[in-house]
Amino acid sequence: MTDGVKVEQLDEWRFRIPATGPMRVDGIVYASEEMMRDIRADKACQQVQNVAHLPGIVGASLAMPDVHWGYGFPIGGVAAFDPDEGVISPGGVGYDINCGVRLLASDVEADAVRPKMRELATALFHAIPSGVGQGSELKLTDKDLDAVLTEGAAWAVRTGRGRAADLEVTEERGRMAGADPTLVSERARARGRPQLGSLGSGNHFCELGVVDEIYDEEAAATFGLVRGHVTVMIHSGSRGFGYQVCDESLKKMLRASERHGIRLPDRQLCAAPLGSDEAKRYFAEMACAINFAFANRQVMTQVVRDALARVLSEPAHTLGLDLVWDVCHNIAKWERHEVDGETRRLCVHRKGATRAFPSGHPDLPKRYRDSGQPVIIPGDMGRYSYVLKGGQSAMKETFGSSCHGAGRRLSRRKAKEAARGRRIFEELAAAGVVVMSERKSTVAEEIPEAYKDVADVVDVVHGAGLATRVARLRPLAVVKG
Amino acid sequence: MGDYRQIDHTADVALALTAEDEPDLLATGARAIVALLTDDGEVAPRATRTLTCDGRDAAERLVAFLNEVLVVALTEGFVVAELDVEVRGEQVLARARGEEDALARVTQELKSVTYHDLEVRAVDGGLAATVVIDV
Repeated sequence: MTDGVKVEQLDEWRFRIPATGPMRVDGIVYASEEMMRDIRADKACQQVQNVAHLPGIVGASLAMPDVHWGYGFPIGGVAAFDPDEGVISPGGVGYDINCGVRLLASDVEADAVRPKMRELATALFHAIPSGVGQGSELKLTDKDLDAVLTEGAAWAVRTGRGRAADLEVTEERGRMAGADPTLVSERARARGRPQLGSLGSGNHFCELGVVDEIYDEEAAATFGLVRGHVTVMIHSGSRGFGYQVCDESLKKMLRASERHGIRLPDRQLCAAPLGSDEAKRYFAEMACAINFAFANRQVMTQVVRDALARVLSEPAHTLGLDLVWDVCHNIAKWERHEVDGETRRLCVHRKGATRAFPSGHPDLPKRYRDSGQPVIIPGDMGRYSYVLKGGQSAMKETFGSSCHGAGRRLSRRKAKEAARGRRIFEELAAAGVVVMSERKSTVAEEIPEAYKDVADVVDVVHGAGLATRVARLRPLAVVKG
Repeated sequence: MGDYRQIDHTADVALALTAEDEPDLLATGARAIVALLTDDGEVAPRATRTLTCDGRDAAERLVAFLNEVLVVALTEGFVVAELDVEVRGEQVLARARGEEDALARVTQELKSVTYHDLEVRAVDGGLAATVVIDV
């Protein structure tokens, strides 16, 4: 099935969708030829075209190799906008504002703790509220919640839920400036308040893994990744708080689009000019959600450290469990990028895409200034995940962006059908992965074959120079919501 | 009374709704949302609430109303069992009967009902719509 979109192959890893009709710029899709077949069968290329309609878009409407259709922007979409001519669009950020992933490295040898893997997984399962509506034990007052929304991960560290060093290796140091809690609705606060420190459902997870392959010894050493050592990955976002902010913002942005004469090929692309009141308001509310998510992942990090220390009967600091990096998948922010030889301040939207700044970038912490930023790419729960480092091509071509994961290939219904009659927990255990989840149906929806092979996605970004391989991780235990 | 069925959609959940008219469409969509939230659990019509929202066209009202049903369940624990819905111009007014303090009945979290590919269209016998829900 084709999508009727004209696509030209530029080279092994790049495809161009030429600007036609109301498109203001080309679309550029990073993919292999084989992946493009699936991408075209999905509506993703049409959505790449749609994004190119938005006013003030700079360069191209970009798609990473894990691209698949989304709400407004495709997931895996990246676009940057001029401050005077351009717009901000909630559809370019997503409902799960600052969904992201963080990776911890450890001094723990996986082989030494394999006999305790089920005990470790069970401890994490009980320690981290994971499922639906399941809130955390944190009881936040209004003042606490305001602090979370303005300080982000720094609130968590300040209140004893993390290490100061964690903030050094969190994107934006775990705190997006410009948050204004007074603009946030009671509904968003009500949805978010009981959920700080909880994983959420669907594709969110906490995973214990092992570094099983190293491709770049120097960068791996900088990141603290040692072959055979245990890692921890936490994938979660702004929970109900962010979903509510997005839903409410979409309504306001639909009106704003009309008021400002922005023609929309898709309602979910509603937007407002960057200098407008509506844009400033969305930015301030989005920043609150971004900070909620940073705090969320930080709180869970400390819970994980404490749980592992308890099971292994060692203080957490002797286990290492240092944060390697925390990266956002869904965000819009102001960055400086070189465009046609000129440094410009742009509003970069990454939706299901990650920042991937290379070595030398001044925004990186000193620790990563030589290596480049870690880029964490989770795969499915049966196979592997990857750690990469930001590449120079990313700065030249994709506003410093790379892919974020594998992307689904089966719908949830088809995944459940494929899982029917099978003992998925036992299958994964036989493959060496202990899985814990509140709901069997969640695990059925998330079976490994429901996802594309993340190695194929990584091949593309590595081949295109957007980010290059540093290490591969294999799962040992996964806690799902 | 309208009907709904879940249809295939790669990343999320999609519902095909059919109904006699707009109030029926909203009530049918609400039943579908509650079925998703509770994994088809039975909900008793013990308590009463009024739900309101607005939208400039039927599609906006559908998204707004279904999100209202969703959010009231997730934030206030009121899970809808039955509805009498009225549409007056851009306003939706619904008398809802359901269970209070029923957050524990919610077993699947839904992020939001979306506008993705949303169109409320006239068909033989009434209205139809496909709604995609971000899970």
